[in-house]
Amino acid sequence: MLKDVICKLDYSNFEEIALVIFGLCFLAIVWGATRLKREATDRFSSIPIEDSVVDPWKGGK
Amino acid sequence: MKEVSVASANGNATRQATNGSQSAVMESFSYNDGIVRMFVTATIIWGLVGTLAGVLVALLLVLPNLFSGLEPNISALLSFGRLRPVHTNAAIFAFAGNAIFAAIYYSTQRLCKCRMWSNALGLLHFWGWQAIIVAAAVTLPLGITQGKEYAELEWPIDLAIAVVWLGFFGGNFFMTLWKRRERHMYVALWFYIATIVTVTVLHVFNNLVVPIGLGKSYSVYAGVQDALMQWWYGHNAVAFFLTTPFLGLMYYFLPKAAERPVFSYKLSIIHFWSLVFLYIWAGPHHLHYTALPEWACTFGMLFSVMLWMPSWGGMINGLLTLRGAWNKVTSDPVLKFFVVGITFYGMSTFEGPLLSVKSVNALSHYTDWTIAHVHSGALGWNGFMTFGMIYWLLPRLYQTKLWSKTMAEWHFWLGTIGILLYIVPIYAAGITQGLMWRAMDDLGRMQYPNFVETVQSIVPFWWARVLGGSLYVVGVLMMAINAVATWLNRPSKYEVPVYTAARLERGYQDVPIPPSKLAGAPVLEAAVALDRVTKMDWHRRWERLPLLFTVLTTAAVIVASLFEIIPTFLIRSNVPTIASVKPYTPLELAGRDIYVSEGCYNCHSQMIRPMIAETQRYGEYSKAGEFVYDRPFQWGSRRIGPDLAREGGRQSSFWHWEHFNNPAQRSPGSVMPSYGHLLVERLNFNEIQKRIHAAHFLGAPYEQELTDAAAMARTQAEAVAAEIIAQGGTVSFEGKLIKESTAIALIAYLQRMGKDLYRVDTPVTPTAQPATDNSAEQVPSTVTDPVPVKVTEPALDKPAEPAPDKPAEKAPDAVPMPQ
Repeated sequence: MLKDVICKLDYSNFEEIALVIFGLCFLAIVWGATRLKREATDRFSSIPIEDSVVDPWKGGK
Repeated sequence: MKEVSVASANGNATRQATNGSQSAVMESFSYNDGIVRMFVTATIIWGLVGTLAGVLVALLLVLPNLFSGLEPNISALLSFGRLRPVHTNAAIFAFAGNAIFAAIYYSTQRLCKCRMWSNALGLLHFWGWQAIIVAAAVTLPLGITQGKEYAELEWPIDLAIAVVWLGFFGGNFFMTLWKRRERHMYVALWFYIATIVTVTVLHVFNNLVVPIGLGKSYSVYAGVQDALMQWWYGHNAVAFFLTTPFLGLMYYFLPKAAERPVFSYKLSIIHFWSLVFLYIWAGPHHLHYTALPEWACTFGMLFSVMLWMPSWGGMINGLLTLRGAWNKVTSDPVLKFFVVGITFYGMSTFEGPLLSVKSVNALSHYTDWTIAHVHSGALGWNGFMTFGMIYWLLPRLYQTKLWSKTMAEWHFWLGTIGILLYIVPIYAAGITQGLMWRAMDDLGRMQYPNFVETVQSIVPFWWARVLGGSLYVVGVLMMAINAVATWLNRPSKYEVPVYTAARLERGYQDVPIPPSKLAGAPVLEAAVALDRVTKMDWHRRWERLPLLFTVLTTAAVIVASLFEIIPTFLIRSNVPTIASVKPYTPLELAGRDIYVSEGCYNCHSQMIRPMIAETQRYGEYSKAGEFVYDRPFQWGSRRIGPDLAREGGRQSSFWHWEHFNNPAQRSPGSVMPSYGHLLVERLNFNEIQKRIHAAHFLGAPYEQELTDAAAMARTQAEAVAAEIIAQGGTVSFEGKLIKESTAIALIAYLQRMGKDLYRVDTPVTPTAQPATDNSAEQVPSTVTDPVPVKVTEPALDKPAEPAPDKPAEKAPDAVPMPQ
């Protein structure tokens, strides 16, 4: 059945479909990234330079 | 916060930390740096081996007779075709692989505030990986290979790779993530997740084979489908073995070395997802103008061009992390390596999409341009990021000062000059090759019809490469000396710092989602739900959910892959069959396996592109239906020697015999080494039977061959030998009958190549034609005598595009027999 479905697909449009899928995902990710608050990104980006253990209750939220 | 000390069973101090209504158990732990030391040591050793092997294969191109004085059986082990995979595998899987593991083992522990989950799995991973590398170093020179670039290792080693990579390494990594004490997963960890998941998928699906022995197997894919799978794997090996883990390395070690957080965390999110989503589609750009369906190539090109965006986003994020710290770059060799490494990342990821554009690819493909591109990435990006990391790690791992900062500076400059001395001449060589291959005179004839002339014109550039490569090796050697000297100054006993952190609690509560402003408004409930979703900070949630993150990454990779793979496999018109194309005879099949084993694909392509310059030089362009029995496909990616797709009948069998013995004698100026060992090695006729059975199992329509393969092979071998003798050869060579030599099988295969398109069979009446599933697409060759033979292939869905600078070439109905 899957084979029948696949065979009926018009793959000449696959490039366009793929582009649309990527575009939607990309916009969603960009939008999600811009939603992050400054204090959160500052804390996350400091994780590698903090060799000492970060108190889980400070700044996490 | 209030803390209460609690005595634990193992004697370590633990504390009960309270914060309002919430509490956490504090745990003491230390990091496992022993395993990092081991991987760093292995990286240095294999870095030396891999780069030395590179210089050796570069030397073999300018001095093809370097080992000709050795016994034939020994020189066979040291031929370019067998050693080039040793170099590529050593550079990628041994050098870069161990560097990745060192980076991941060091940074994951720090980013998770947690020791690696299992010391034993770490050791199994280390020794398993080194055993795999040694197995590769032994089997590849012996000619035990699958014949697919960067996937040469045979199935027992592939199985070991799967176990070590996913079982030992992946298991240890994901369990460490599971047990971590840092709630949020830093961006480097995302790249490591993508690496582990995707490499597993690529490795498993590209290496599905039918074994016929410990050292030989046949790919379950054939021809076009095998090509698509191979370059889906090949390109994404670059993406997910040589890019994503090194980006993880960059995102961790660069901020550490610069003592500054990454420039933009938000950009890193966009960088990661765009890269993961885009890279996986790009593989078909390695197959432009080949028999791969045109839609798939357009697919690959489109997404490759879009890769510019995340790649440069990553580069900019890396370089801008150094904002305010550029003064340190002048005095710190670690930062010097990182800056140049990231710059090479930007260069090679600019060039990659450029090369994927069809009009550029028409010139660059099969030339040394690709080699220069690869080495700007490998030596500049992978090499320099690794060296920067090692110089940063050495004092920390060995708890002493780096033995010589001056030597590290020298390494940096020698390496940089070495890379430039390597890539600049090879860019020139590649463009020279491409232009000479397509050069036409005023009458529309090839200006350089002798292929050897195009090779000889670039030999001076190859010498410059030897010099550049040697400088790079000297740099690696200096690093090795520096590492050993630093190690000698280590303390008698390493200090093991103990850290304390709270265990992650199960009942973690996120910030409550604010109520929707649309609640109560006269809108659909879906609108209210959507409004709430938009307020969720959902990426931040993903960052603390490793399982969900892994699933999403896997989904991005698999969905993209299926878009290319499913149509290619299930839509028959993508691989039109040609009625006159028949399976190889037993002797030819054995000969083909010798072709694969000798690594001939490292220098010769088997794919004539639909361009005037190629069809004039090599004959009719290649059709997808010609490769349906080719397991593995052998289209190649490089032309150090001419294309062989229509080699059959071009030269006499005696010419081939003599050519194997002394290529330069038959083809003056050739850089092909002697394959004299093929003339004296005996062909094992009895083991051809199982090759036939495997091919039959995979779909080749054999009949009599299933029982009489050995006898049929002997009969054909006698005929080929008789032909050689009639053309001037001798009955025996060095006391051995030539009809029993492996060369005879290889000659039989070479004489078959590309001829099926012109096969003249006895005419059959339509009623006698057996019905087949795909009979609608099979058009039997119409027999006309004399030639030309009319061969009709079901039209490709879209006609192949001619080269942009050449007049359009119409697919001919009547194809002249090649001369």
